[in-house]
Amino acid sequence: MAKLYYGYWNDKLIDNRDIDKSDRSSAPIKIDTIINKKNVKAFVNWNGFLVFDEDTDILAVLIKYMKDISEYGCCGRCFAGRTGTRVLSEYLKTLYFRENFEDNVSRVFKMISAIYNSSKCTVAPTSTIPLKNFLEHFQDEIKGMVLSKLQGTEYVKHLTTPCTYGCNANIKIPEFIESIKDFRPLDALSIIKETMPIPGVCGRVCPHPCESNCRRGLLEEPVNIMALKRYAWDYEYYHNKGEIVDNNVESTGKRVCVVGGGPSGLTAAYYLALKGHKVKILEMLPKAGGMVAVGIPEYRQPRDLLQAEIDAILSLGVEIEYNKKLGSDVSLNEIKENYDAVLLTVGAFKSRAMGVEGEKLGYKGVLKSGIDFLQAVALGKEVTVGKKVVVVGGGNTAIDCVRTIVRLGVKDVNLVYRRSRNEMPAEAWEVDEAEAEGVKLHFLVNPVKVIAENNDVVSVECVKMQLGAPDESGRRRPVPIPDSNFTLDCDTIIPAIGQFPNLDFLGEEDGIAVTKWNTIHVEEDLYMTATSAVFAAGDCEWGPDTVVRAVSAGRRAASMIDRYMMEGKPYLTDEENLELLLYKNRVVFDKDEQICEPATIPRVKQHALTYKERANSFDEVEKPFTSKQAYLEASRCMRCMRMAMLVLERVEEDN
Amino acid sequence: MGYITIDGSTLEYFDNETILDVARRNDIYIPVMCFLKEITPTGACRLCLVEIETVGVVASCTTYASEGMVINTNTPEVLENRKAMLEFILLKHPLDCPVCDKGGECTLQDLAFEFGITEENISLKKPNRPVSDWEMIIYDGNLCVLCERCVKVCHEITGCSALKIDGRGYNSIITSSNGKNLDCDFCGICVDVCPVGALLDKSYKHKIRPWDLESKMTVCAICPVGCKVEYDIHDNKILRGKSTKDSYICSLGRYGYNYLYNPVKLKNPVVNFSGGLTESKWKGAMEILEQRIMAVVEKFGKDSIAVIVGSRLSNEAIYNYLDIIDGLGSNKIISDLELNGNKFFNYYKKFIGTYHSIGSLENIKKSDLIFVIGSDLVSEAVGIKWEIIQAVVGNGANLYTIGLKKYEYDSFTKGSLLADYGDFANIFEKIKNSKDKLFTDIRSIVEKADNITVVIGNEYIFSEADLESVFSFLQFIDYNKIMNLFPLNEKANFMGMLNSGIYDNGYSAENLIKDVRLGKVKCLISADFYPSKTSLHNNELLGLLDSLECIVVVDMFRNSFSEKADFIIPVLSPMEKAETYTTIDGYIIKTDVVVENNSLISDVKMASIFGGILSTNIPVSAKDVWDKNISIKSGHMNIKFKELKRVFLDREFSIKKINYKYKKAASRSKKVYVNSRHHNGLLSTFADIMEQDNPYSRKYFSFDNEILYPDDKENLARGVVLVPKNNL
Repeated sequence: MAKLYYGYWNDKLIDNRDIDKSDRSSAPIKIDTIINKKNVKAFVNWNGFLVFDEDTDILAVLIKYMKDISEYGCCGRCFAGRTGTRVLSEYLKTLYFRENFEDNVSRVFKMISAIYNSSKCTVAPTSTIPLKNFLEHFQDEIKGMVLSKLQGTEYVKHLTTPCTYGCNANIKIPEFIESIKDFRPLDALSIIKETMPIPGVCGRVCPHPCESNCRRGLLEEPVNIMALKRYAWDYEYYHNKGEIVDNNVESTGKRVCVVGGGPSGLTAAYYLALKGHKVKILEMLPKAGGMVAVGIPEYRQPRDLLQAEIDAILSLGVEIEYNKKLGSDVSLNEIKENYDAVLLTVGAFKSRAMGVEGEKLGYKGVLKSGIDFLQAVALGKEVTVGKKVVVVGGGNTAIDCVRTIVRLGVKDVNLVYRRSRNEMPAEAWEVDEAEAEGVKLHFLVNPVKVIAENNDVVSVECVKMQLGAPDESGRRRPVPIPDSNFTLDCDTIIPAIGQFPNLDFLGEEDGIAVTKWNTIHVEEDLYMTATSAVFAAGDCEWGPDTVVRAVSAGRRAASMIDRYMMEGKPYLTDEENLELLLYKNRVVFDKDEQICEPATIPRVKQHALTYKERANSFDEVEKPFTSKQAYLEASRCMRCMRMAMLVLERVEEDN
Repeated sequence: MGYITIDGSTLEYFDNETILDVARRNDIYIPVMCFLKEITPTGACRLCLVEIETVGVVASCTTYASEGMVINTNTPEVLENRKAMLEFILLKHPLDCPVCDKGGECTLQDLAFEFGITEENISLKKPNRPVSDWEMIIYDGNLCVLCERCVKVCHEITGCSALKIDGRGYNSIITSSNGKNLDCDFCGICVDVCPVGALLDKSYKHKIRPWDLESKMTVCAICPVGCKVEYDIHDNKILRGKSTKDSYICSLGRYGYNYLYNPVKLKNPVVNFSGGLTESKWKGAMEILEQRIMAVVEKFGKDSIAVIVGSRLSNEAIYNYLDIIDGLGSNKIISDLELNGNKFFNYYKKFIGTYHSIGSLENIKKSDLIFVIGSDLVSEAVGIKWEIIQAVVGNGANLYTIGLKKYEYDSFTKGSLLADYGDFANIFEKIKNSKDKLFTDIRSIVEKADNITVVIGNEYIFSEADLESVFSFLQFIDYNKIMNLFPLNEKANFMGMLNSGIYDNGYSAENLIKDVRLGKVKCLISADFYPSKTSLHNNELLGLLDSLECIVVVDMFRNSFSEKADFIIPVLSPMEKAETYTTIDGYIIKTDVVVENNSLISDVKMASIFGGILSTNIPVSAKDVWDKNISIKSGHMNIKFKELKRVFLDREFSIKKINYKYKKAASRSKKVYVNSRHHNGLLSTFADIMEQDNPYSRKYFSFDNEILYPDDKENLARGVVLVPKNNL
């Protein structure tokens, strides 16, 4: 952890220049002293600036920062951002000279003020913050340019935004939104595909954490980022513009086997193929798509659209073999022998048992699990549900089950969850939709015993719960209220209380560690297991989570596999280190920020089927944006881009 | 809807209006540089900054008006920030005014002056950027302020999307989208809207200073859109063409006028005295002309005279020629449309009840569904394409093209369908019945639409075997929803020609050919007619010319047809006279005299000379023709020539039902004749001139005679070959 020499951070001045090195306070953010074998000298971003090394020419750093803002950070589409920051960075050099110093400083402050007030987005204004802080409080640190101080210095920069940070896949959101505003939806789509190859899916099923980090949301409602992303993909699909992309990259001769053709595996295959590697996917089901294909119902993700996205990925030359399960049809060793690297993206398909009496007695009406039920519906297999159904659970799977069952024509559908509505892991609007579609929600209720007559389920005995002390996840633990048992009539029970990965294929000889949550252990941020050449990503590594997190893991794992195969080991670049530093310190989005921006038009919502229409069909509930709607919603984006810079010094290596 | 306050005045705003929209609507001045009302606002220049009380300084062009906003446009803080923006730009802008063409009409100069910036306080290194030479347009990256107007007009109005921004931040620059050349219409709107000297007209470069120019407005008379155009004159010579505040012009309006300065343009009559065409004096030529025509009349009778009129003639000229034949008690007058084998308009009249189009070009912007059927708009009437793209971008209209190729604006369409073997009827059938997703989608969009525009053009007219089929398609869509219907032709006054009565006078192309063959027609007068060898009738006529006693050609240039004539009479161009034309959507527009020419006569006058020779009284001036013969006609509203500016003709429709049964046509390969890019008929090829020893002097594009064959990229329909016709 780095000790701070001096700095200005979030309106607080920190001056340790007269204090002994060992007694200096730590930096206000978690930052290492050494990154990739280089000393960390200074750090500059929109919160201020921090100097760690006494031998730092901070003015040179700020000039470089401003120059990089003008060429890299700034998109170039406004006078203040593009030309203002350039003029400023050139003019700052005059501060090295004593001649007219006061006048020059005064001019610099004027430029800072003009840029701060007049820019189109936040890159240029936020870039003036560290400069202003420095000139107001540390002018005495301008000592004259000494070239030796700059030798061996490396500047690492990273451009981000709160929404990009919030998005697990780190999509360049303001950039693609700008393309939509320019009526170039196909350009928007290529920007999205730099970090996410299945935007059609994510634009429909994502819980959009980006929107929770949207600064527009601090003023009014957040920008409808998900609908805009969906619009870009829909435009290509519904305007019949899709092209099968020819992958013209030279082949590297390396072969990768991806086990599991879900969102994580498909994403990894996409990026590996674009780098020239030969990829083969092994998929245990007869269809690709993982949970998206067999866990998420058709009314949320239409199957033909998903298939179009899968086909686009396969068209890059990716091979796929169906009905091939790791462990039963092929062993990990066999794969390791035939490929240069293996990526395990087997997901989390095993479901938890409820742990109630009668669950395992083979009664007719007790279904194996929610995900098995959804999978059967998705694969077109026969499913029998009765007339009164109870689904147990509070996550997205449970909600998907009840809404699917409503569409199968069942009138009496119940959801039983042991905590309250607020604690449900399922997305709030999904719960609202389920309720509006006629599902009966029973909160703070837990099943205790399955009651059957003649082997047919007739009811389930439940107990009422109350919330006690919080558990390790931070949520209050539900505790049964004594003597509050009651029965709920039903003829079908479906447990949907959580999944975990099926790691039966792993043996001790594989040397791969498994965590206490039954997920595969990997080296943090590197996705590599203890056995080199075997990587893991997605639900099987992190635990059951969202599609977008799986996509992000797939892309990053692909980078790591590429580096392992071509350079010998996976590693994080300097910029990736900077990116992680920013995200782990949570400095990109400040939910308490006081924003002073004018009001804008209300959030544009997609047209949707009425509740009656929804309950009767598996048709997509929400319709695509029209181009007019997309333009209007895109114009609400505030373009909150900002740039951070790390100053590193190469350590002299002894030969 | 609601109210905001600007500088103390309470003003109403409408949904989705910005503060700048409201201010402009109420004549409140806010300086702008990157703003242009026809494109989406960019917010690049930040010169439109205003203060919103309790919020701060914002750009008014991209900030929506919101209930209760209190706005001040002139506070000291606002003025200071605006000035700072301009100073940033000027510090990095070469001080090239003395050698820059834009000096005198430059927004940067004007605003710097307005903001009181008179000198550079800081000296910084000026940029060193590339300069791009794009044939007719030059781009200087050093002068560019990246206001993005050019990129946006090219994308949101013309649909060519030939420009884009390359690079990032300070290194941004405008480049061509394909990285090589400008693959566009060369309309030059980007040059018109550039606020500085970054985009310049290459052929105009370094010619003159704007304050030495006199501007004259007229209407362009090359294609039937009839845009208003402004010509800048010096010493009675046109030096450049520009868009006006009411209309954007295309390459034909901007550069096409250069045919006036082609050295081969006729200045004197040319007569075949004996054995060869030689230039002659007017008086002598007219005397011999009278003798020769009288000789034919004496020997063969008045019935032996026939007249062919071309669709570039003005209304007055057409009516005068009709008058002549009428005065002879004959009906032997025919239009180039009929000789070109164009049968479509007969069907149009049959099913719509009139030759007039439905709706108007301005109304296209309100459409929610547009069909472009067999029309490569770029080579027929590019101004219509711009209205269509604006409907797609501004109104979210769904656009389908059904054609012999995919057009350059393919990325804007919801579907670009190809009519293989020229079988458009097959596509109509599929739209009506096919269960394919593409066609079920079209059907459901048709059902939901209530403001439909349909354009029908040259590709359909000359490759579809069953011309009636499109009317069954229109019936299927429902005529009640079709707000705009445009049957197209490339020539400026084809609509005037159709409505003159010449199509219904009972004398057809077949009649003429027969009469010439049988020796019943001995004297042929042709005005602005060029029989291109792309039609059966034209070829037949050309083969029979030797049997005629006397051929008189009235035209501006000599060509392969006029070489067979006995007399070639040169006439004034539309830039040199005031006459009326009828646009595609039925507006009467009138040209104005832009340059004076006292050595030639107008078509109207020449017609009256013929009249004099044949002893019928034909008016000598366009004004008389209009006032006496045209304005009294129904729909023309009795307006006098002097007051005439732009008048929408009344028209009546009488839609006829069609009982149509689709028969699949044999799939035979077809040759279809089309205009070469940037060219309209033979006339525009004469604009391709160059000054000697001047690298900037190329005035227009060469004619490109590349034949297009279907390729494996599926950009061209199967079974069709597109042959450029401009020099045939």
